[in-house]
Amino acid sequence: MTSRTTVSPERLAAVLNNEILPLVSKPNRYVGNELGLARKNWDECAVRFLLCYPDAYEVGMSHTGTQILYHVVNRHPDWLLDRVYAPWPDMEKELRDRDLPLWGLEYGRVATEYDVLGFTLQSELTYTNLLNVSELTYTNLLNVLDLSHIPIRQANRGEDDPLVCIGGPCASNPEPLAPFVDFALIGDAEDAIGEILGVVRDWKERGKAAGETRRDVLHRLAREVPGVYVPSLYEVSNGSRLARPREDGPNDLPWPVVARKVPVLRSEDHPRKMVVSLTETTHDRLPIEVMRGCMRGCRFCQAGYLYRPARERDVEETVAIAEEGIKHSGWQEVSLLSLSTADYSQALQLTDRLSRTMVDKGVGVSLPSLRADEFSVGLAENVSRVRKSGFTFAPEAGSQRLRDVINKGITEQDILSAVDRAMASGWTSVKLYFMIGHPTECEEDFEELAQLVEKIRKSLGKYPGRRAITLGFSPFVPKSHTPFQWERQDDFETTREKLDWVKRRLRGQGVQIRHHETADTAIEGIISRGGRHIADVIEGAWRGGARFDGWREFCKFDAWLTALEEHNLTLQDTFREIAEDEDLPWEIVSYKIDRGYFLKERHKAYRTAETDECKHVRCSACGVCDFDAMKNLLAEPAADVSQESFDGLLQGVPSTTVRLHYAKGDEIRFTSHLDVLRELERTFRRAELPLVFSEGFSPRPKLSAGPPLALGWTSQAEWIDLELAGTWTESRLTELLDILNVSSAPGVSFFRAMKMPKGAESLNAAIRSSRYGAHFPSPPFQYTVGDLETAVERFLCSPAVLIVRERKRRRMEIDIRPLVHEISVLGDNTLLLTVANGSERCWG
Amino acid sequence: MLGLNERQTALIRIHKQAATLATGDDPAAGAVAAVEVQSCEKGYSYYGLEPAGNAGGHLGGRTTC
Repeated sequence: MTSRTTVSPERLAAVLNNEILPLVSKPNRYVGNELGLARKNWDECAVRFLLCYPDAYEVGMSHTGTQILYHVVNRHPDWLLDRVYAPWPDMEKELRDRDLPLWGLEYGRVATEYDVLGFTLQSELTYTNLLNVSELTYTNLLNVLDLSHIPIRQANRGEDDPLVCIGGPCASNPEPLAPFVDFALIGDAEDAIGEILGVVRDWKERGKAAGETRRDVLHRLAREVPGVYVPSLYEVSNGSRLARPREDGPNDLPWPVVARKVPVLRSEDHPRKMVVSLTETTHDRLPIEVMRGCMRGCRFCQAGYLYRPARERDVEETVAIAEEGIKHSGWQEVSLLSLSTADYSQALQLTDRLSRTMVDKGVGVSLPSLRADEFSVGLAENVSRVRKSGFTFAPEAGSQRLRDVINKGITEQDILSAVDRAMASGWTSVKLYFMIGHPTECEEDFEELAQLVEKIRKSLGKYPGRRAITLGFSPFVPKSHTPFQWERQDDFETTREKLDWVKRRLRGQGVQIRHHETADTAIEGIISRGGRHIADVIEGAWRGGARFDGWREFCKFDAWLTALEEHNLTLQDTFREIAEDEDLPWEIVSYKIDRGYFLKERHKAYRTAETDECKHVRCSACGVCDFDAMKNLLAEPAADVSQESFDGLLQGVPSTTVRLHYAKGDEIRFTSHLDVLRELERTFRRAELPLVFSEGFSPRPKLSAGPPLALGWTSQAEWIDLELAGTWTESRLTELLDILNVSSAPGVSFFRAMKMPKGAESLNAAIRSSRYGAHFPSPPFQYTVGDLETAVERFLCSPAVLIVRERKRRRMEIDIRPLVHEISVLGDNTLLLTVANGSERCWG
Repeated sequence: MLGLNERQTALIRIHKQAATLATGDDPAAGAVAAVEVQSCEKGYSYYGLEPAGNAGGHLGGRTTC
């Protein structure tokens, strides 16, 4: 059982900086030194919300929804939103060894000091296009609660514990997490979060004094905020897995709980200034949600049903967000996010306009999800003006019959034409993603998939040079709130047999094949259609050591199998086909699409009958739209700018090599050398410097840094050369220093700027030695000046000092004596050393 | 020489003070034109200085030096 520990922000910062962060991997994950933070006054905020993305920091920082929620909550003067991510296992160990609780990154307060701890549960096919699946973060959710010293079971929480909630697409089936959460927010958060925090504020300021309990405020949330589900007020009984209001509870609860939807993507809800990580994240780019919802109706796709109707953002607004966002962040890419950006009604106009606006800044535009058709290639051509990324299509199924079953709406000819046009436009490789295990799938479908790949290979053969095909396979997992929610999931053996068949059939054809781990898919299957009884399995797996289930290096599938067995369940139980007349656990929530519609779609799948897309062709009467406030909303038609001229990248122009001297301070000492270089590039872009770019497919700014500084060290002697267009006089260099010091991240300070002669030796080659101060803080070190002097004397008198280093499983013996030119002892537990370049890893 | 293991080594606070070329000069040597910030102040860093008044991202240093 957890016990609450309180630690002051000052004490926490000291322990982290001096004792923990130097010891863990990627320590900058835990520092809270991002750009664009709200920085509110803790004491003046009435409600404090800690938002957790229960996966690694790099994954969570790539999530657009977190950025939106951060903006929506923090713009309110009385509310504060802080962030926390699942600590990596090495950090977990350090925390547990010290009994130190988890904390919010920005304010350094332990999690129990916040009023609400919210978890966002995203799924694979939502906007971030990440390869992890949210069900695979459920054990992390329990781990975060436990590390926060909050009881993992809702029933065990006290009056002073934070209210624990979940949201996001995976909350569409809240039942597997029901015993762990106080409430779930179903649907869009933009409006609902304010209503929730308003109720919490009232409870804190008035209700508690009037004797209202935690249970009372939960009841108020369930009753007063549409879209809020409070599992503890509902129960499952009489053999059904569908929760209903408790017989002994309030009689004014919603049933089912209807998902919140905003009728329009409001301009003011999309952040202009985003939080920018100094650590490289999964997607280091400016994300703009151009459309929410999808009108295609792919029958396996949960997000396609949860996010209906399609709501588009206007082109002008999107361009304005991009311009402001890049000016603030310095990112080198804008990503136009939606479930299917090719279906955005002004896609051609937007991609053309935006890429023209961004090209002279060296900022690329990306489209993370494309359909396999020629139109999509046209979009990709529009956005490849700065750099050409790979070309990825998702036909999802290899045969036409199966594509009709899943209602994909593309033909073989679409796929072949798209590949042909992509190759003709200069792409050299193509990736195709398929799912295996679709309902009704049979051997003939695989044979047709193989034939399709052969046709693509033949098509690629028409073009000179090496052309690569990569196939990706993901096993099908039936999801709640889809027409395939009743379907069975392939077991391990069947999935492996199918993958083996594909590999055998395509062997020797120069095709690279990748696939998801079957263990991942099994865990996803256990949870995605689970009821409350699965909560015990999740807890059992977590207690058995399961963490980061989506990460191959950590996944402990045995812990899941053991947990299933302990609760008298098998994989077959969870993978089975569900009878159409059974109660479904997730029907406690409604996205306004009833089971009759899903059944109709399921039966159409069996007849290989297609359903039209609903934005331009025909409404399928799914029930989501009221055709008043709630309906498909198209962007305003945008002006055609295809004939207008625009500035290109600065390449091959007269330029000057400018050398900069800068410092790396304490604020970023846990930011790696490569991350500092990435941040410098963003700084130069924020400062709107005329950077000269290299030539080629993927042009890069011409930058050249000095020798790398080790992680955890600070420096007042860092150097970087950059190639800037034009002539640089002393007055321009002075202006350059000023603008850089305004644009830089905390911890980066520029001191000198100089114009170097043509042909100057590179910094890395020219810098031969560096002088360091090495301070031994007390604690943990207990050295006297005499101890240090003795050690220095022994070192200097030694003809050789051999140390052993192990890096990437290689063991090396290095004589560091010749690398050290001078050492002296200063009075305050500090050594002064001059060492040869490249010897930074030889300390100790 | 001090018998430190890798975990202990990570706790030493190391600050780079200068970088030098083979000639012993600093990397600014040979510049055709050079400028530097006119005033510095003690920053948030344990050792470091930063340009006075406005270092990006926060309000600048604390104690004038």
